Amino acid sequence: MLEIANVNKTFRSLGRAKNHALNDVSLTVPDGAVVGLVGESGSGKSTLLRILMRLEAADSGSVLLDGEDVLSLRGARLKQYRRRVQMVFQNPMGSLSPRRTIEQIVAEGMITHGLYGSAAGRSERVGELLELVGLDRSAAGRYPASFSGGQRQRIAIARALAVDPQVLVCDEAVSALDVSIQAQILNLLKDMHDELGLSILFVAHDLAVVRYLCPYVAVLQRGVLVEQGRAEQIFDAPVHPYTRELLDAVPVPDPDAGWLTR
Amino acid sequence: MNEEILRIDGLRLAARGPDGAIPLVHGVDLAVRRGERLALVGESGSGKSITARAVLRLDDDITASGSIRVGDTDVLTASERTMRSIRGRRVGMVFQDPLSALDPLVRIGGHIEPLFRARGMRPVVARSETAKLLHELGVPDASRRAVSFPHEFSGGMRQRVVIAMALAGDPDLVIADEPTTALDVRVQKQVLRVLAESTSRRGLAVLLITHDVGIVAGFADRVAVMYRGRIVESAPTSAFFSDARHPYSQGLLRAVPQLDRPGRLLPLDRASIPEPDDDNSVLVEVGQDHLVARSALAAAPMGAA
Amino acid sequence: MTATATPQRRAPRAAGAAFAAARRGWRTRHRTAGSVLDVVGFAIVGVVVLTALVGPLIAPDVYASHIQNARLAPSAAHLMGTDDQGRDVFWRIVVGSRTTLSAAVITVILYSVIGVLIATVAVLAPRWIGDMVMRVVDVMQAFPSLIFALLIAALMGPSLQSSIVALAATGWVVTARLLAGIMRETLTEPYVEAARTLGVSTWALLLRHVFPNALPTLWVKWAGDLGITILLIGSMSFIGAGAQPPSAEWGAMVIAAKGYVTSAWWGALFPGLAIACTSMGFALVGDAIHHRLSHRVKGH
Repeated sequence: MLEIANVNKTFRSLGRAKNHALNDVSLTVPDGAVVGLVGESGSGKSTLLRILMRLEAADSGSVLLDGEDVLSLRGARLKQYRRRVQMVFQNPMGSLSPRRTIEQIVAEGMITHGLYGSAAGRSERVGELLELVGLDRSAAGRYPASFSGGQRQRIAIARALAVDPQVLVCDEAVSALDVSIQAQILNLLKDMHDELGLSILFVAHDLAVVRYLCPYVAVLQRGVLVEQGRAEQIFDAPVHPYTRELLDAVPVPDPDAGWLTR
Repeated sequence: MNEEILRIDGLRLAARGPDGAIPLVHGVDLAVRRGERLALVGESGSGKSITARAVLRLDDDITASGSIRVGDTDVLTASERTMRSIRGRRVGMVFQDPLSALDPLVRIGGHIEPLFRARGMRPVVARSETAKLLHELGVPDASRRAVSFPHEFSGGMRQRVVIAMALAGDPDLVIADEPTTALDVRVQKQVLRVLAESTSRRGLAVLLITHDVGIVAGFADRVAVMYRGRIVESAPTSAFFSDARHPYSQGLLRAVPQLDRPGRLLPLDRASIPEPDDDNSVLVEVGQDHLVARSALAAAPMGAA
Repeated sequence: MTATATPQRRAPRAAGAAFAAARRGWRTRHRTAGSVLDVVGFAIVGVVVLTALVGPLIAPDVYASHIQNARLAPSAAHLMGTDDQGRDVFWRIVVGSRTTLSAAVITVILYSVIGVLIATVAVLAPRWIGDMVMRVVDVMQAFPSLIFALLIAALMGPSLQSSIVALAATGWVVTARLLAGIMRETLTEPYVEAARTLGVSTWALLLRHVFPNALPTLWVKWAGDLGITILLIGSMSFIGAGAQPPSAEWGAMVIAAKGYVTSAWWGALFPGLAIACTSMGFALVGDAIHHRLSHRVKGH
C-alpha cells in the first residue's frame, strides 16, 4: 500500500513568483488497486510523480510504502525502493536510450538489482517480457528508432515489469499515442493489472481514458486535491466545481449532444 | 447551390527525400463550401496535415500533382505573388502550437495590426479593429492586453491571438491544423467554441484537421477520414457517427474511450482494414453526401459495435 | 501557465525523415560533391598516416649535411629540392611526418584526458564546486591560448616536448566545456531519468548512457582537432618555441627555410603545403564522420 500524506512542494526561482506546485496533497493507492490522478498542466501531477520516484525532493510530508517512509531513504535502501515502484514515462521517443538495444534496455534493471543470475537467464526473461507486452522476441536485438510510439511504450512497460515491481506509475503514458494505439496500451495495462496484481497509479489529463482504466479517481487542481473517490461517484455525481468543469470539457462523440454549446 | 471555397481534386503529394520521392498522399478529393465546417480526421502518417498545408503551399520540399482550387485560383500553378495574396487574406491558418506561431519579440497587437493595415486601414483604425477582434475572441481587457508579449499570455489566450491573426485578413476559409492539441481540455473547449462562433458569425468556411474524433461531433458539419494518404470516407457528421461504413472509421470510433460507454475498448484491428490502393480507394456514394472507399463495400457488413 | 508540454505527436515517419533531409543542407543536396570531399579527406589522412608509419623506415639519413648539394632546385634526384644544408626536402618531409603527427596525437590524447576528467568533476561534484570549475574554464577560454602556450614553452625551454605540454595545458579547456555541456544535457534526458528510476548508480549512468552519447561529438572533434593541432605544433616550431633544428618537424623546416625563401622557395613551400594539406585532410575527415554519424542518430 502506497500512502502519500500531506506532501508540499514549492518552486522558487529568482525574480519569479513562488510556485506552490503541491499543497498538502494526500492520496492512497491500496494494494492491487488502479488509481487515476487527473489534472491539467500546472496541476502538480508531474511534480508529485517525480517526488514519488525520488527524482525530486518534497518540502514536507511523507510517502509510505507498506509503512516505510520512502522520502528519507538513501543508498542501498533507496535502490531497493526503486525496484518496487516503477514508472512508465509520457514520451515514448525520449524514454528509451537511442544507442542501446531493446535487450539492453529491458535488462538494465535486472542487471542493476542482480536478478536472474546469468546473462542467459536475463535474456530469456527479456524474451518472456517482450511477448507479455505483445511484441515479438526478435525485437530484443533491435534499436528503439525502428519502433513506433506504441511499440516503444510496450517496451517501456516491459522494462518497468522486468524488476517485478509492486507499484506501476504511469505518467501520461498514452497521451502521446494515436487513438487506436492508445486503446491497445490501455488494454495491455488492464491485462497486466489483472494478471500480475500490480497496483497502478495512472496520471492523465484525459478523463475518458481515466474512466476506462481506473475504479478510483483523484482530481488535482493547481496543487490541491479537490476531490477523490470511486469513479462512479466522481464521474456521475461530481461535487467540486472544478471536477464538473473538467467533465463538461470532455468531448462527446455524439453530434446531437450539443457539446460545444453547453 | 452553395459555392465551393476550396476544391481539391486528385491531389498527390510526395516529399523530396535523400533517396528519391516519398509519396505521402495518393489522390485526395475534397471540397469545402462557403460557411461549411469540414473536419479532416486521421492519425499520424495519414497525410492530413500536409494536405492542409498544401492548400497554402507552405512546404517547399513537397511536390504536388492534381489540383487545389481556392475560389477560382489554382494554387498548384499560381505564382508566389498570388500565393502571398491568398495566405492570410483569402485563407487564414491556425496552427497547432501557438508558441511557435507567435514571434516572442513582437507584441500581441503587432501580430494583428499589420494584417488590418494590409487591407488598407489607417494605423489608428487598425489598432481599434485589433482590440475589437481580441475582445470578440474573449481576450479580457483587450486594448490594454494588446501591448503584451506572447509569453505573458496563457496557452489558450495565445491560441485566440492566432485565431485573430487568421481572421484579420477577412478570409473566406480558415484552416485549423490541430488547433487544440497542445491545450488543456477545458481550454480546448473554450478555444473551439471561440473558433466556431467567430467563423459562423462571419459565414466562413472552416477546414479542421484533427486526430480527435471526439471534438469533431460538436464542431463540424461534415467529416472526412484519411488513412494512409487517402480519403476512405466522407459524410455529414450525423451520418458519420451513426452509420460509418469504412472499417477504419468504425475502428476509430470504437477505439475512443467515452465517459458514458462502458465495456472494453476495441483497438483497431489493422488486419480487418483493407490495404488502400488506387483501385479500391475510389469513392462510392452510399447515402446523401456520404462517400466511402470501394474497399469498404467488399468487406462483410459490421454488426452493432 | 496553462500551456501543456506538447505531447509530441509521433511525426509521420516518412515525411519527418524527408523534411529532416531537406533541411540538412548543402551536403545532402550535393551528395556527390560531399562524397568526393570525404574520399579526398580520407585519402590525404591515409597517405599521411602511412607515410608516418613506413616512411622513416625506408628513408635515407635526413639529418646529415651535404653542403655541396645546398639549395638544389627540384629534380629527378631530389623531388622537392634540397635545403640549405643540402638535405633532401622530400625525404625530410617523409621523416618529419612521423614527428609532426605523433606530436599532434600525443597532444590531443593528453588534453582530452584532462578535459574528460575536469568535465566529469564539474558535472558530478556538488553544485558549488562544479560552478567554480566552470568559472576557471571560462577564464582560461578568454585567455589567448597560443600566448599562454608560448609562456609555458619559454619557461620549459623551447623543444618539441615543451610545445606538446604547452598545447595540452591550454587545449583541455574546449574539451572540458563541450563535454560538460553534453553530459549535463544528457543527464536530463528522459531515458537517463528512466535509468535512474531503475536504481542505476551514477557511475553506471555515466558509463552506459552519458559517455556513449558524447562519443560521436568527440570523434568529430578529435578528427578536427588533429588537423588544428598539426597546425599549432607547426606554428610553435615556426616561432621557435617548439621543435628545434635539425628536427624534420614540418614547422621547424619552414622556419629554417625562411631565410632563403626568395631564392630557394622549395625549402619553405613544401613543408608548408604538407602542414596545410594534412590539416585540411583531417578537417574533411571530421566533416565526413559528422555527416555519417548525424545520419545514423536520426534513425534512418
